[in-house]
Amino acid sequence: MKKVSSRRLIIIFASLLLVSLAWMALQRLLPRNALIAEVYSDGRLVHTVDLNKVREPYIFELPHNRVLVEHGQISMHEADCPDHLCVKQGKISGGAYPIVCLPNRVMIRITGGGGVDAVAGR
Amino acid sequence: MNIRRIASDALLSAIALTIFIVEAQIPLTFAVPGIKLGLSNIVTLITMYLLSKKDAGAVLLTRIVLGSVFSGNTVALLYSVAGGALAYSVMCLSSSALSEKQIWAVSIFSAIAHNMGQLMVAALVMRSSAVFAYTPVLVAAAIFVGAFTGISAQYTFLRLKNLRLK
Repeated sequence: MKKVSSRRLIIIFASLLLVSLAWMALQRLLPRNALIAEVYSDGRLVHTVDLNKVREPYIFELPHNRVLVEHGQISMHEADCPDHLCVKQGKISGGAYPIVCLPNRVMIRITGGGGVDAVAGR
Repeated sequence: MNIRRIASDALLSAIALTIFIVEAQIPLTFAVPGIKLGLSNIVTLITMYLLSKKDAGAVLLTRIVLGSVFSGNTVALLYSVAGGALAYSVMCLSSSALSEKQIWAVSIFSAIAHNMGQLMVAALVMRSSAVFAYTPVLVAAAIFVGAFTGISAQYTFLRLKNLRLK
C-alpha cells in the first residue's frame, strides 16, 4: 500500500480545523432576534417560551432538573446528575449550541432567527 | 497467546487505567462540555504499535469497562463504548495506511472518530439531531487533543520499540 506523506496529512488536518473554526465563527456572528426557547425531556417538547416576552424570571421544574427562564436568556439552574456540565454551561441567549443534560436526557435549545441556525438545528 | 503477551497486555491495561483515573480527578472544564484530553489513549496507540491491533483492542476494552466501574460513572459507559469502538476501527484502518512515524496522524483520525461516535450516541439518547450543532467544536477539539496524545505516543513508541513485549 502506498504511504501517505506527512505533508499531505498536515494539509488535511489544517483545512479540517480551518473549516471547523470558520463554521464556529460564523455561528457567533449570526444575528439573534427571535428568541424562542424550547425545553425537551426524553425527546419530547415539554416547554416553549418566547424569551423576549418574559418579564419576571421563573423556574420551570422537571423531575431531575430546574430550568431558569429570564428575559432574553435561559439556563439550567439545577440538575441532579453527577457532573453538572449543563449547569456549568451557564446562560444561553442564542447561537446553535443547545444546553444538553445527557444523564437526564434534558435539552434546552433556542430556535428561530433563521439562517444557519435553522439549518443546523433541524 | 503466550504468557509474556498476557503479562504485557495486563501491564499496559494497568497503565491505561491509572492514567484514566488520574485524569478524571483533574477538573479540566473546557468551554464545551464533554471535551477531555483522553490521555489513556496514548497507551492504546502504543499497544497497537508495540504488540498488535488485537492487543490494543483488548487493552482498550479493559480500560473502558474497568474505568467505568472504578470511577462509578456508569452512564458514561455507553458513550465510551461507542466512541471507543469507532475510534478503534478508524485506528486500525488508518494505521495500516500510515507508517510508524505517523502515529500522531492515526491519533488525530481516531480522536475525530471518537468524538463523532459520542455525538451519535448523544443524538440517539436525546432523540434529537440538535446536538450535531456541536460537530465543528468537537472536530476542532479532536484535532488538538489527538495531536497532543498522538505526539506523546509517537515519542514514547520510538523509545520503547526495542522492548520485547511479545
